[in-house]
Amino acid sequence: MSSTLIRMQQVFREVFDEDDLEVTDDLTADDVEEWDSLNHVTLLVQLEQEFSIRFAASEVGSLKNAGELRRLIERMMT
Amino acid sequence: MIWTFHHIGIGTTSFDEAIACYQGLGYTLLTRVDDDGLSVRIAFLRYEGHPLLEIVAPLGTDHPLKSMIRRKQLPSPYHIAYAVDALEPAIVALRDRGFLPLGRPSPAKALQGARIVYLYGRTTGLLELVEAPPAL
Repeated sequence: MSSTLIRMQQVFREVFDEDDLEVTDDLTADDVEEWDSLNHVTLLVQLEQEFSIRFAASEVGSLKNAGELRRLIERMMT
Repeated sequence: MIWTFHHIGIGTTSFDEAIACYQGLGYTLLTRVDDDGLSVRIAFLRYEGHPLLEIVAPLGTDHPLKSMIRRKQLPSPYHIAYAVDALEPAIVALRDRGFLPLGRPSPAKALQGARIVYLYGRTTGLLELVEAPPAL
């Protein structure tokens, strides 16, 4: 598991209140019961804080899974 | 840059009872609608000299209060709303302060089609912007 994914997983677990949640590149909103529109935005805001980044609305609107989110975060950190 | 305060939003699963409670306290019911577009039931109540209250309850199964209900965070006040002349510049101003919008601006049936948008802030929670709201 990449270091980015490990840090993402910690944030996901806090936002969705699931201590055992395993975050993989294939994880989607359909896999997490708590992943609704409010928690989606909460997740993005917490990830911005964790990685010291700022998403653009156009970037996060079409993300299909955690892998795309991870790649976006990694691009923004380089 | 602070805008005009518009209302306090109170989320509940007991729509009629919450309205009746505030009417019992002396509030006047201004409007109540079922908004299929936003998947919520909305009522606005006023008591002269006090902030406008919005009662929000789920409508259907895919509604925006779902996770708050599951986490037993409702009933409770859960957002405050400001009136703005135009949504987009206000969204940009809040984005610069770390807020993220929940989706795109949408017309609100309870506000005669005025556009609204919700934004979430990490340290402050939910805030709503209402574009040029009508008098209720």
